[in-house]
Amino acid sequence: MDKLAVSHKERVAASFYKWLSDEKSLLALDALAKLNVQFANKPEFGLLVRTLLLTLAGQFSITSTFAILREPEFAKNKTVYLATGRFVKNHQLESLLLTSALERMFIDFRKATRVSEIDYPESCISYRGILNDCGVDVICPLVQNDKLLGIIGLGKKLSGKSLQEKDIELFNSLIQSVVPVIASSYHFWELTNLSGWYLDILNHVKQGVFAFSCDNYLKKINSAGFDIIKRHNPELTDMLVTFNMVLEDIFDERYFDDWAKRFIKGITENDTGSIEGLILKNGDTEYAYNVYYCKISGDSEFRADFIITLDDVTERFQAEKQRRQLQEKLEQAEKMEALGLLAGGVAHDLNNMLGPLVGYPELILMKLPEDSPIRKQVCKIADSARNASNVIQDLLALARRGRYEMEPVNLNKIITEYIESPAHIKKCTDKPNVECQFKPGKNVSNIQGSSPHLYKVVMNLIVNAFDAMPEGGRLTVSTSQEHLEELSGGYTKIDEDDYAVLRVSDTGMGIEKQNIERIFEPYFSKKKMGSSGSGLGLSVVYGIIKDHKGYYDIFSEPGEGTEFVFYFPVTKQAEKSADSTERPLGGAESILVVDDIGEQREIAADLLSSIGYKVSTAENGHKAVEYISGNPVDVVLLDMIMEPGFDGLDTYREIIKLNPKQKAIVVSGFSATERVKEIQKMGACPYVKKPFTLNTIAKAIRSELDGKVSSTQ
Amino acid sequence: MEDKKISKTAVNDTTVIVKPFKTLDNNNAHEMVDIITAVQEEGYKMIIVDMSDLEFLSSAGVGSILGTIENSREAGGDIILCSVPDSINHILEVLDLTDYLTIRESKDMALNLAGTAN
Repeated sequence: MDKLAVSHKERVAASFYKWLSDEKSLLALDALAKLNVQFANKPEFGLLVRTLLLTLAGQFSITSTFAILREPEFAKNKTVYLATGRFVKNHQLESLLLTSALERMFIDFRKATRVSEIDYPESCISYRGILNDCGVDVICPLVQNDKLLGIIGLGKKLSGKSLQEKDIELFNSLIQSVVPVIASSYHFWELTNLSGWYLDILNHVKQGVFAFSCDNYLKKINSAGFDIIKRHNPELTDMLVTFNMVLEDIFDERYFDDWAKRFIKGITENDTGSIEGLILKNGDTEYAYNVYYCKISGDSEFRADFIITLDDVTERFQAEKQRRQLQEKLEQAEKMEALGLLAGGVAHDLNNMLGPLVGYPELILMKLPEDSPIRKQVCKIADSARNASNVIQDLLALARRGRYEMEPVNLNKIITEYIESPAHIKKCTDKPNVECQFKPGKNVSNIQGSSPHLYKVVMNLIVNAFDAMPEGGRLTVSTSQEHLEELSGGYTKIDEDDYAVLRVSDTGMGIEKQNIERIFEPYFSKKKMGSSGSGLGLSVVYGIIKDHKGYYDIFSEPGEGTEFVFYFPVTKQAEKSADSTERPLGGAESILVVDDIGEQREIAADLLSSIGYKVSTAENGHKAVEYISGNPVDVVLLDMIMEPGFDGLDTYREIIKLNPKQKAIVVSGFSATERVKEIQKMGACPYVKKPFTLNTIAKAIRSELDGKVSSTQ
Repeated sequence: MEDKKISKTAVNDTTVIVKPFKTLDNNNAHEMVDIITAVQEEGYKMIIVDMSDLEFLSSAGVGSILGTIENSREAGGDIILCSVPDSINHILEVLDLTDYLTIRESKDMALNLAGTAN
């Protein structure tokens, strides 16, 4: 026992001996004994101090007492305030803070002192006023090991007088004898809260924390760690609490790969380390973790020897994966754009060259007698030219510069049309080992689209599916309507909406994973040329889908088959009813054909004259304007691409200066450009692609002439 | 009722009888404070502490009454002790409290005083 403790105890004893003859002191001794017993049995700090205050009130016949107690550093509030009598809910006292200056002051004088006799340090001078105002008579600090736990104050006696000296001494003795018990209660309270506090912090750490002993036994695990184990091996969670588990059993190889083994090896060699991007599968779901470990050094008896932290980085990992996929898609789209641009340019030149080949056979056939021996050859020329023209249309579609007539259409109708087509029937007959099924969805809304292009999508997909099953199999085409927030593949962000969904699946050879993203590239085909022969089948599909503001998903497993899924935003508009009345092809009106290419001019003039029109020609825009100024015509057939500086648009602008209501038809081997659209804005002219057949151009002219706006000539 | 250390019985809207059994000391003094404070907050002005079954009153027990009595008096009421056994009365005498506290010999007298006061 140290000197200080002996002298303290002696002082307390002397104080009581002095008062032993007094009955009141006996009462105090009894109170002290009871306090000690209570403090030993129920170390609840707050309750004990309350009882102490009541005992002091009873002992000294006063009504008002208070205690201001310092809380541990980590506690929410800096102090705890307890009181009786008038000091209850006393805001002035409640607001007193045990500042470090005040702490030093109380530690210095240690004993019960009259408020009026305290020598307040400069920084605490306001305390005197507050304590006096509140009617506090005596204050005693609770000091243990030079640490201020709090202060206890007593009010004046019932008579309104101050406590007598002997009462103050007794008060001091009482407090000094209970301080050690209060201190242990305080520390117990502090420790109880502290362990809860640390546990709270640990359990709010987002990472899974596992603390192990040097022989690999689990010592502590936090909530996040528990969740990770539960996610991968739910059966283990109960055992984690009940049994002593070793690292290798917790991170079982079946669920956690062999990293635990690698880890144990690592920790014997290094103090810290990490495994980043550990991928663990749970069924179809992939989880990614960063694993860190570090040894713990220290002298604490309760320490663990090393901790492992599992940081769940699945979201980051998924986002990175998605970003990579998006990047690939973007690159793919850019590649397609570049290829499309190239194809578009070639298509323009080819279209012009094909003009006569497509147009003249019809004219020749009209003029040839029915029994002419060369009719067959001419037909073949026409067929070949048309096929060539189709390939060019593919190229244009691929370039996504082809002009689409968008109108409300129904997928079921388009698919049915293809399924009933002679080409498909022939395919089915040729390949009897392929079971072909169409399951039209009920109530599939219309989409805004171009029938011929969508027909092409259906055709290309079905033909591809047939080709993917050389040994036979099952081909299923189905439609449905679905409300989508995201795609199954999840790679592309889509607008939440109702979508008409087209599914084409086969049980064929499937597509290798690394090839899936490339199948839309032109000429990427792994098979022999498809039926269109262009090698552009899926590239065309891609372009058309994009033009229809559609999305796609591809699901494929090599050896098991492929499913293409296309999503088209639905429209509420109804399909236009088919125009049953065939318009008369020809007419007697006057037409001016404007084209800078002689052959083109000639063929147009020949075709249109053959059906009765009065045709004039102009070899450029200037000549056309000049002609029209002197010779009004009913309609102008205007080539879009002519000499630079005075193309179709410039010509049209001049023409409408002369006749604001001049009817015109724009023709071009190129797809509809911004300039074409501008013309259309000015005069709502129809647009006809070159090379055109007699039927197409005649129809366009007739419909323009018979339009609502009448000729003003 | 018997196993309770402190019972509470309302007589009317303003008067309530609080009765500690056997002992009123460190173990239940804070409970006594809680009960008295609660009835004060409920609006009872006159609180009669029936000590007829009390065998022991410690300093803390005395403190539980002193620590709450001013509240009642400020509200125009009081805490009246009744049926105080001799041994306990002796303690109150030692503490010089017999003049300060309102003490009545019997419960009826306390009730009578409470009624008069009202």
